[in-house]
Amino acid sequence: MNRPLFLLLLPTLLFFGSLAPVFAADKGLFLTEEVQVKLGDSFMGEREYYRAITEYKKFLFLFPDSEQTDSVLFKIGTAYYQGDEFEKAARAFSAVGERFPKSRYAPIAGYQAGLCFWRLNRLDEAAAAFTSVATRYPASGDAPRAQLETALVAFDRKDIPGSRHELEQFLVTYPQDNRADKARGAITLLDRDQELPRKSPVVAGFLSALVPGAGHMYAGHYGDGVTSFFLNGLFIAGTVVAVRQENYAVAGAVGAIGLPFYIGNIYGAANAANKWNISVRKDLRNTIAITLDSPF
Amino acid sequence: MILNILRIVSIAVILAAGIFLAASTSYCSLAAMNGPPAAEGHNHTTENDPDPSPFKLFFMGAITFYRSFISPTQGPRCGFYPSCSTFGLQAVREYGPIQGVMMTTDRLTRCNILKGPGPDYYPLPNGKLFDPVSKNILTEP
Repeated sequence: MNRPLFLLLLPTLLFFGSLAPVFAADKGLFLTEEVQVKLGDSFMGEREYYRAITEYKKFLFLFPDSEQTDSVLFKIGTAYYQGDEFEKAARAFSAVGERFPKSRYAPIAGYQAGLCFWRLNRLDEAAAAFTSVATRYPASGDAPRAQLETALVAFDRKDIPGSRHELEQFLVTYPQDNRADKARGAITLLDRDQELPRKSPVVAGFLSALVPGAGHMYAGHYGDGVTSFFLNGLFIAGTVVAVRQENYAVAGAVGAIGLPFYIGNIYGAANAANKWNISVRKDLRNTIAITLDSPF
Repeated sequence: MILNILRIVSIAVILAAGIFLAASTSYCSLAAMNGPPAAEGHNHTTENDPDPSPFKLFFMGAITFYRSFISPTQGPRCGFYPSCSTFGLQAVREYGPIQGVMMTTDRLTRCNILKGPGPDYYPLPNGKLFDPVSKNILTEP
């Protein structure tokens, strides 16, 4: 090829050559709402929740006026929930109801927000979220189960009459619901709360003050009772023997170490009774939760 | 008889004061030598405590002394998580010296060969039983 011809062709080649990457780039720049949502969904499918959240948030940034914003917010909440970030999940779920009260995701988002608050042990907020679903969206499929969860939250708040009221309210509002029998069963179980074999922490503490370890035995902690009896017995015997032998230094040392153990034995007995009560109540609570098909 | 009781009490007080001085000195020097407490992951010093009482300092110092000089000689062997000494530090720091010591001695009594998984403790993957301070507070169930 001669030189003039080459010089003539060179700018042409450079021009078209520079266009090629532009066309190639154009292909990748067509980012639609669907593509962005699918990106997030694919990460969700792979349980890459935080990457999914990033993609969903990118969606909210790129398409702020999209009609899918409510569903994407709900997906962000779901991703946070799956990642055990209940605080952030509750915020995302609550945003759905606040920004899109007429969205089809609003009832389920409200229900999920209630679950998040429940997990965070913020029982008042959980009850408020479930009640809101039941009152604002009574025709939705989430309203009956929100009503049932309200009853269990009331039980967790130690409000047995409130729990019973919610279950009775459920039977009045949804008499044809297939969970009506379960609600009746739960009401029967609630009656057992008064009959639970509770142990008195005061009695347990008093018994352990009289005989170290006796309170533990009363509360069903037999191993701890035996240990406490022998441990405190050794300290008491050691102190008494040292005093009888007029070895006051040893008596003071053994007594000084043994006294906190004796007081701890009283505290421990009361604590054991308390644990017993928590345990029997938890058993009843779990039975009610299973009856009502509650998630936890 | 009264004289004997007075003798016992005075010896106990002297013993306690001795432990207090020894433990609090080691406690302070350890905190200074180990650098910023945040670097250890857990802040067991009283730097952030607005009102560290002498009793609190005494018990926390004694437990830190045990953790620094006595416990390493036998290695970790407590069957609970958190260990009894960590439990004691947390209990005294969060609930004060009186309730903290009661909780600690109760925990030491429960740390026996008869303990096992059950409704009170659930086993962790490392084989230890989970028994945090928060589950040993006297509250209405």
